[in-house]
Amino acid sequence: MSRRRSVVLAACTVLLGLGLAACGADAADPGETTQDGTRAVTIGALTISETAPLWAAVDAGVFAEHGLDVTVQPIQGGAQAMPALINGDVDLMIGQPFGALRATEQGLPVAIVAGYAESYPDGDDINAVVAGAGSDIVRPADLAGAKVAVNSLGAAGDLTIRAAVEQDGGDPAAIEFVEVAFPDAAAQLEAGNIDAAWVPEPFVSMITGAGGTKVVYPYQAVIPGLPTLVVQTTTQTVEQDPELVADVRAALADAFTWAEENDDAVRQSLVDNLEIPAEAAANLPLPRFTTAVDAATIEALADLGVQYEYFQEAPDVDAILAE
Amino acid sequence: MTRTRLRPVAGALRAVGYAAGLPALALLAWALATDRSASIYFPPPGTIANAFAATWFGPAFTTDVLPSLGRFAVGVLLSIVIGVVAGTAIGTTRWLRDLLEPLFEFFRAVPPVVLVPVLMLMLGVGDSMRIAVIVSGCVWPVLLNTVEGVRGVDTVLTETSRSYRVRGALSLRYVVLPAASPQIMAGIRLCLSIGLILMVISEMFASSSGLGYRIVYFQRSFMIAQMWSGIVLLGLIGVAVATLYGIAERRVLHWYHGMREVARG
Amino acid sequence: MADTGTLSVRDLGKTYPVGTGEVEAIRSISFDVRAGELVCIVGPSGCGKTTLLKCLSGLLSPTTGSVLLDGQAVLAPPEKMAVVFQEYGRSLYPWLSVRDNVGLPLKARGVPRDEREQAVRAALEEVGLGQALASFPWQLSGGMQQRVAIARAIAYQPEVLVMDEPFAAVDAQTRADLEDLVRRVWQDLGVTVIFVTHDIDESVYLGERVLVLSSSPTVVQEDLAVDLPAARDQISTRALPRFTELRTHVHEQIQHAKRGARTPLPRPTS
Ligand SMILES: Nc1ncnc2c1ncn2[C@@H]1O[C@H](COP(=O)(O)OP(=O)(O)O)[C@@H](O)[C@H]1O
Ligand SMILES: [Mg+2]
Repeated sequence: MSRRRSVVLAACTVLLGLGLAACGADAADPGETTQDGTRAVTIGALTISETAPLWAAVDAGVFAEHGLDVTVQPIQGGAQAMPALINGDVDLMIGQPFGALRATEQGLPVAIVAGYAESYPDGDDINAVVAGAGSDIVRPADLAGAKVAVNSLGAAGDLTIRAAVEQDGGDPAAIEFVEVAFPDAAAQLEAGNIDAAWVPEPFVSMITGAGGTKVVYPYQAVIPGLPTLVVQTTTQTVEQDPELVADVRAALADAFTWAEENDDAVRQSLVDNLEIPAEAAANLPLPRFTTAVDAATIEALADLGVQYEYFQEAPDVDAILAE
Repeated sequence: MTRTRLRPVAGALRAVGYAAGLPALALLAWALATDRSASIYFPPPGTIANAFAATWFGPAFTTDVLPSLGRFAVGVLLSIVIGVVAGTAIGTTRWLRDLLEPLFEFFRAVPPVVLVPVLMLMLGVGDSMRIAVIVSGCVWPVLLNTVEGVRGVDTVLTETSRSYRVRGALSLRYVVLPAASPQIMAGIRLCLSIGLILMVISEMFASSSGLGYRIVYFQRSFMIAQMWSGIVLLGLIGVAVATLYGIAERRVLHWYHGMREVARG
Repeated sequence: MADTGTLSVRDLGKTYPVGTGEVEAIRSISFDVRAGELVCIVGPSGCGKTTLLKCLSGLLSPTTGSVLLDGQAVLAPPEKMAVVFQEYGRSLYPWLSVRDNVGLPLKARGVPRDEREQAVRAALEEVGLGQALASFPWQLSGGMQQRVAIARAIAYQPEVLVMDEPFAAVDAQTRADLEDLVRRVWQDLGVTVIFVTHDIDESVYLGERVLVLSSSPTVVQEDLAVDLPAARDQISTRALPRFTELRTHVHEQIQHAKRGARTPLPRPTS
């Protein structure tokens, strides 16, 4: 995701995006049935590598088999897309679970209806805190007192890093976080402007390939298997259109099965839809795709948020998980 | 008698009425609209006011508002100094102008936002980068207006000064800069409004504090009332800056306004 | 009378480059001015009076010939010369008070503050503007503004005072007052005065000598001594038969020149 675009968007959404929320009151009902019997569904998805199976499966017609005419709407971030979800311009959205917790805490009617992607509970994870070449930061505790970049402050990245540092005996309050877009992190590390950065693949491989060191997999260290992305919609949709929710869930499950058997198509989608160079796409580590949500991990994330005062009060995870 | 004595009072009341009228109407319209819709994205004014007090009359004032204002002030002051000094040199030196003018057109066309990644690499991710972003956008109106103003000094005045041998620093201080001051001030006015925008934008990159960062953070965290309160604060800062500018302009350009009033008869 | 302040104009010519071509403003002018003399230069509009004056004051370099001030070539504005421009509204600094307008040239010369204040006050008293110290030029009438410009020239204590149609844009009464002011300043200070005008009556009334310029291409049509009494008065001097003779003669000279004649008409005998 381009930082520039996201900033322009951030600036614009503040006023314009909100305007949509007011104007879209009479938007079409989600999942309206068209003449040929299929239902039109718009799914908001970040333009990041994790969403490749969705793009690919839609193109391959997996969703059509379930009677769903899916339009994938690129979004720049969960929060930016939230007004569109609320007013019905987007029926479902693939976003980070932390965003859903945060939205619920602020009284927005959001529910998690399915899993999408998970980090790995062991082995190589798909995001990591990395330090630049020659850095003496080698373990989480060393991050105390360091300048650490995350793409977006006040979310799961910095939260799990704090917890990982504390777990390792460091002082989480001594970490100095700054926001740096993932694609800019490598250059900032090299320039010495930051000491470490939390990045997903392919940036982890790029930075370690250039001599950087992996300091910690914060998700794996704190909440093994924490979902990176989940499918969200409004509580209204969950209540009024359970059929749609069930259909999407089933279709997505099929999509993942299909994706596993058609890795080439997924990789091609990385190139076609997400503008990732072919060589990079071929070797890009992808997360585990599943529609199941491990409630315990979401529970743990909510608790962590309360512990580090990211949330004023504990979000009601049972209410958020609509399964 | 009574009527004439009341006139200044009525005049002052009218002035206040005009100044406050539209904001009051807007507030009323906002209150009515939000009262009906109950949209979470459009909280009623009371909620925003509460969020305003809770958010900004606390530690956020020192961790976010003051640093932002500090960077804004430094960035704008630097822009004014650089713009006026360079603009005067360029406006009074023919060859410098011929040399630099095409370059200006080039750099002026580059939006400061696209310079951010470059500036981040050169200056790091701290205050200096943010100030550089502000300067990179704010310096142009001051610089170009100064060049125009300095070049546009009345030839009769220039010849008067030459014949009385008013030269060098004295000529700059008492002739060239005052003559260019109406245009310089117009440039500064633009510089201030661009500066506020860039203050916010610069805080959207590699940031962890500041008003712009905080507004985006609130937006991202679905803290809608707080976000609106940030926007209100930005607007209030804009009004305050414009007021300060107005006071400064009246002092610096009192002669200019006086002269124009006389000319209008 | 001062013994410095002599001016010599030698074969002075000025051609302006205009686009690809050029405009010959002055063909060739020569004359001498003695120290302490009051010379009026009169000629039709566009004949090159302002051009001549800018060359005299070192603001413009002549294309041919030269200007000598006390034997020294004038290449830049000389220190002993003060200029009063026609466009008084544009030659005063609108951002400076009357006091600072008059004082700035002295400041440039390095005159200490107290001395400067005294000179400024004296000069403004001289032109009858003692009360206007703190005013701004644009708060004053046209005639008052031109007085400020004259006060600035006086305070500068020049040896040569050059004035370019200074009263062309003021009303008749003010103009008469200002003419008398110039005569008085000339007599009091003993400076050399070069007074440019297109007004024939004014040139005869003011001058000890009148240089009549031809129309373009410009040369000196006639150099005429004004043999009127030194003490001049707006009513009685202008009523003198000799005044009428002189002004008629100058008038005829200019008409004559306009018809293209290069030789002067015979002078009226006194
Ligand atoms: N800067 C200039 N460039 C070109 N031509 C000029 C310039 N100044 C004056 N002239 C021309 O020279 C002639 C004399 O002008 P000027 O000295 O102003 O006459 P006067 O003062 O007698 O009215 C006019 O034809 C005028 O158009
Ligand atoms: Mg003239």
